[in-house]
Amino acid sequence: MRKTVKKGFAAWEFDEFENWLNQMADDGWALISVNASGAYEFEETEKGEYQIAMLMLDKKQSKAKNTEQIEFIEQTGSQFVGKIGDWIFFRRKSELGEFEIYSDNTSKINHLTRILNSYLSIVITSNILIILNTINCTITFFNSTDRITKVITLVGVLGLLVVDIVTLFAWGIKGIKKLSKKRKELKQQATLFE
Amino acid sequence: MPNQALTEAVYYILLSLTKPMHGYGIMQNVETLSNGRVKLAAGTLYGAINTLLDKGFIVALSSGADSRKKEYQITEKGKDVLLAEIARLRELLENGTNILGE
Repeated sequence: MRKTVKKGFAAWEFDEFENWLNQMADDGWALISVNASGAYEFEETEKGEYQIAMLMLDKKQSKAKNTEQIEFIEQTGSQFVGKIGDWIFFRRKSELGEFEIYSDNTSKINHLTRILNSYLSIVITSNILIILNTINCTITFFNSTDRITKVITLVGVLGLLVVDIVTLFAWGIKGIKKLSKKRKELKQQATLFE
Repeated sequence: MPNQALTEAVYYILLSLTKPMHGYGIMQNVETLSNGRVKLAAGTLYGAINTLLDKGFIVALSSGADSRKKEYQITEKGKDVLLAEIARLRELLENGTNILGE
């Protein structure tokens, strides 16, 4: 039997999301495919038969290198489940032992830096777009003589500003803080232990 | 060669590659060598192999039909690094046992 669950995850919650996928696998629902729209398909298996791991590909890496990396990981007994954006998903039989993509601190720190940078670029880009739109609306406001247009653009400007403040402060900064905290903990660990 | 410590992963990878081996072979060999203590995850191993290739410490051997089973082997440069590391580890061990006793 199979079932599909639609679910999204925020960049800073990637490990919580991975835990959820593993919880599903523990309950006898192993991830079998993913869809770009955020639909996760599970197949019924023995409880805990599989373990799931995910990683974010390096944007600077060529497509050929991405394929090579996926094949390398597959070669070590895991199965490539699929790709959503830069995220790739694998599963491996639990009998092969604890399934992790990275076993050392340095790789884990590099992976987090990758996630943090990609998230930062999304936050910055979306903010620039909103600011450009706000400027555009403000110009329209001052240029128009029509009252209705003035009201509509004023509402538009205020609305965009509110959206911007909410996304930047509530969403952007929260995510960056969480990811930075995770990275800081790993770095601290790395100064003492390998 | 800079006087720097190798990571445990790199040390065991280089040691494994004194014989030609593919990725999964390295993982299994390292686990056996360390009595199950060191388990290299695939992503970590992949990153390490790429860096070692860049540095010229190992080479990829031209493989047969299946390019996915690429084999690697240590170079002379890699062996020098390994020998320097063994000397460094010996120093650590000797100082430790001298000061703390057996």
